[in-house]
Amino acid sequence: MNKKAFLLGFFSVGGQVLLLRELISTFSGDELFIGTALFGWMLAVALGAYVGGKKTDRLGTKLLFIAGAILLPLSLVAIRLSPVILQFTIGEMIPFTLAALISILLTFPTGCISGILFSSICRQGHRPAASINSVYLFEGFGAFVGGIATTALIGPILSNISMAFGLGVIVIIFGLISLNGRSLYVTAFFTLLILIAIKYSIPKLDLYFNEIKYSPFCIEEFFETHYGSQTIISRDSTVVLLTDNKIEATYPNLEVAENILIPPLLYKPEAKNILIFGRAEFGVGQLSKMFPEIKITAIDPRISLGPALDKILGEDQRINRIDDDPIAYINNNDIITKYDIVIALPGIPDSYKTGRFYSEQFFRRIKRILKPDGIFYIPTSYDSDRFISEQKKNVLSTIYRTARYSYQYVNLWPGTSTLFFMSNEPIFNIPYDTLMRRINFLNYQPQFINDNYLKDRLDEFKLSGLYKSLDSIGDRNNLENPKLIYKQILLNSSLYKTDNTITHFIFDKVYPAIIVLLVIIPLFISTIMGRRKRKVFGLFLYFTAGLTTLTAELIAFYLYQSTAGSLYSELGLLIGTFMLGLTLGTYISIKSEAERLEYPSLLLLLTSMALYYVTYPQITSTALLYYHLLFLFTTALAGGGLFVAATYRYYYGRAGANRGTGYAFEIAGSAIGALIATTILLPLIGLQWLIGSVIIFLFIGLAGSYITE
Amino acid sequence: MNNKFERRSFLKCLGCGTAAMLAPQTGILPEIIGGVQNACAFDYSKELSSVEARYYKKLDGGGIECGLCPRHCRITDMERGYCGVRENRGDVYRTLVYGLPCAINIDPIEKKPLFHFYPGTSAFSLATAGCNVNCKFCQNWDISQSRPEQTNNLVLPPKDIVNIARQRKAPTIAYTYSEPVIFYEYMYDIAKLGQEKSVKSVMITNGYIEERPMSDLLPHLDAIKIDLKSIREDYYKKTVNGELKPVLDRLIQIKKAGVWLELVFLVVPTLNDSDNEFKELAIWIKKYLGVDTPLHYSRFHPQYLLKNLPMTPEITLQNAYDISRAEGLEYVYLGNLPNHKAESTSCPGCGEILIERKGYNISKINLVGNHCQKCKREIPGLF
Repeated sequence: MNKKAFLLGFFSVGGQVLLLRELISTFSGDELFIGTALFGWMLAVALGAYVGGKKTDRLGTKLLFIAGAILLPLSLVAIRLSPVILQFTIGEMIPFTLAALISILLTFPTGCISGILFSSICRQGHRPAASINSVYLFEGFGAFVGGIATTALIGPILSNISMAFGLGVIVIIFGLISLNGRSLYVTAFFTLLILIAIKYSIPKLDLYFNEIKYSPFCIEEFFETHYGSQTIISRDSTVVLLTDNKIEATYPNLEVAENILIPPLLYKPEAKNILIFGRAEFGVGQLSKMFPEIKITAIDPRISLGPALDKILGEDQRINRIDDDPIAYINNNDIITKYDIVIALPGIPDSYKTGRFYSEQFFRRIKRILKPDGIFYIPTSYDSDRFISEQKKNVLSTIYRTARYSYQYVNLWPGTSTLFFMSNEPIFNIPYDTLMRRINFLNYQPQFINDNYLKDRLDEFKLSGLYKSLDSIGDRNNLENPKLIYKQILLNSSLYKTDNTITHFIFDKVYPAIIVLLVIIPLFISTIMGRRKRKVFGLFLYFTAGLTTLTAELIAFYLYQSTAGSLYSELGLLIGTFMLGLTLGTYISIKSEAERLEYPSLLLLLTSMALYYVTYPQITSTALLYYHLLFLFTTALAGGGLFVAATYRYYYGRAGANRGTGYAFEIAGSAIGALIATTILLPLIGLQWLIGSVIIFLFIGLAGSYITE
Repeated sequence: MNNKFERRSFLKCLGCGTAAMLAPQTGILPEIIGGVQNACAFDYSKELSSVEARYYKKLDGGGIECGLCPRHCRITDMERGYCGVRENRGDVYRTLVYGLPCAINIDPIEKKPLFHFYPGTSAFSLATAGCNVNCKFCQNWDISQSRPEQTNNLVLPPKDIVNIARQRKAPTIAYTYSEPVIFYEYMYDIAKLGQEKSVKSVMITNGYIEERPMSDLLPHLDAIKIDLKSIREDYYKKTVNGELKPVLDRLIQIKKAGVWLELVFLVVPTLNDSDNEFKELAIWIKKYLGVDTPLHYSRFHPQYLLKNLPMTPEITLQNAYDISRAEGLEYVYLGNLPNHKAESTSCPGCGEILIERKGYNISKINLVGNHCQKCKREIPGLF
């Protein structure tokens, strides 16, 4: 039973990671899509657990493992090819509603099997409470190992589909064979051989699917990084870099390259040292040759991308490359270089991964590496040339307001890409003629940033229209209130009417709150009433364990990523610590055999959340990793304890009870946390209110525990 | 005016009210109250025009049929046509955008692009919300696919437009960005008034309009630029959500009427960039419009629904240019390729550069009236 539980945890977490990665890289998902996909997966697990627990006869776990192992790679292939099957034009945006529906449908089989397996394994023990806790413990341990293995292997060693096949082989072999002594080594040896065969044979299959997906483009290269799925395609001498299926850069594209490098140079022609956050291979590198006196440094965390681009673009880029996360780089106290110009190319801020580069804190932090009269410059892809829609205005004005709050002087250029210049010195008030003269003095004569286009672009009429529309409204975007993300999601959704209606409903402040209340209040009331309230309240505790621990985990990931950067390089460590805490919490609670475990668990969760609420703004950058590891470990420890407490409450003396119900409630709580917490509530009510809401919820749990004694 | 309290607004307010009642339990009262105010403010009614539309007929048994564009929408009471800006109100068809432009700018005429129409001058450009097709690559989708309630509209009746154009020293008014067919009445009245005040009018359109409205409008227009999206019907069906044939018919009609015409073909990678398509296009133009009709190949940039399709490679545009020239078209231009010879107008007779363009700027004009300075060949267009 324990081996199967371990295998389930290993398979379940691996499947979840792989499916989510494939979904994001197919549907170019924003934060709302990521939340919805995670919600769909968890709901499938919860439903599977509940339905699996209802079956009175024992379901064949071996058969379920085999089904899961086969379905996982098939689901990945189906996700990858779904736009082709649905006859979307290459490069066409897929509506959020349809993408969410596909994600729910295609993750359902694997998720549901994971849930059924949990209940099925639980049914193999005699005493319900003991067997559920034991399965949860070993499942958590399996998830810990699976989480670390998946995070470590994807990218540098295996692709998504290879990993899915590998996972399937491991699950089938170890799920079917009873291992002891010498057979363990023999099986392990043969498994290793199969995995090596997968490593070298599956990429061909991968390539075949990608060729279908990107036809008629040629696939130059594709690989996974911790920052997303990278595909480099080409056609008619044009090379395109796609990150999670979104165009990140095209080569050659002189217009974009000039828009990145030339405008800030016009305000600071004496610049000698420029820093770029993002890839600089696409044209900027080409242009850099024209400015030998300027040292250009580019920072990007995707180490494997540099050599791949060098191979394809085949150019001496004259760019000093640093493989690091931009936020981690700024936080590094050893950096003494001050730059004349810092250019950020973060892309569209529709997820926290990119949105963190538009925060007030990031804008201000840039000053550490900027000369006092230096320029911080963001060339965005928003078109403000002819018309600015309300949704676009909301996004642009939020960036503008954040910039205004962080820097004394902010300058804008309208056009097919809207440019933001920031500085603490009044260097932008330069007449048009002077700008033109400065262009003439450059070593290189720009093709697009010159009088032929700028006369129209910087026309008084357009400039005043842009300033006027951005001055009128706008929120500041900061880590406590990341408003920009949901404004960008609303802008994305305006492409399709159904998406527009749904996202406006979701981000209308009122409806999510009502939905949360409509779920939580009836659940609370129904579990604190009746003759069997002590037992039934266990379900609320399960729900609390799932909701609060996952919310805490997501908050920690969000803040760590936003303040320390490098989330992805430390992701394995963070997930591992969380899973370890959960396992240890479960183990200690089982062993302690203490009664009323919910009180210490809830109190530990409360203390942990409350301390986090008070201390998170004061933590220095060097201590951020340890601080978050400690927070994740503590909340998971308490979460494990709460699960055990809920199990004792709900299952004690109930041999015939559905052994999947409790787990289903815990996972349902997690599902709601995944959808609501950082995806919807964080941008709407802010970080402090979100943590506050978790604390209030934990108090409700405590009060309920007391009432139902 | 559309002041009615809609069901959606009512439900929103009802929901907000419920939330406000529940709010004290959550401790997020100020946020909720903010939300209530926002939610109720979201659907505020904007003043729309109610000028009677032209080209429609009342149907037996109620409803009307629009006859402005080949869609021929049949519209019941209080419903709108496909364009979203023309509404049936008690079986009287109304245009909701008359006098309500949502975008105005002064653009160089080269930006339209019109290369044989008073080069180097500017055009007072305007657009309202709405469009009668839905191109997946639309550059102005945030106005063309919006309803007039969703855009911030200025109140500018025809006489104000003409006056502003004159004040801003723009010799031309351009109906552009979205699709001027859908604000036909407004465009017609401005063009007519402009004609009286010596302000020219150019229509930048997809050409998806019925014959009669076009023939009524033509006497008041000085030039038309038509976006011919493809020469293939299936492309129009799949990517444009329109029809090719009526557009081709209008092109012939305009040419016959003698109004200055230029064509733009947006080259979208993988969708309409084959050699065969460029060839078919050139052959059709040669046969029906004449080799002297200017054809602009323009570059696709990732936009709207095709945001993840890369821009058109230079090599593809060059290929399109070569094929069209080989087929005998005399004035073929490539957009957004600075320093390319196809940015300028050359004399088909002697090869002399007649109008040298750099971006939107004109650096040299070697024309005497409508004739090449060197070989005296007549160059079509209005100079």
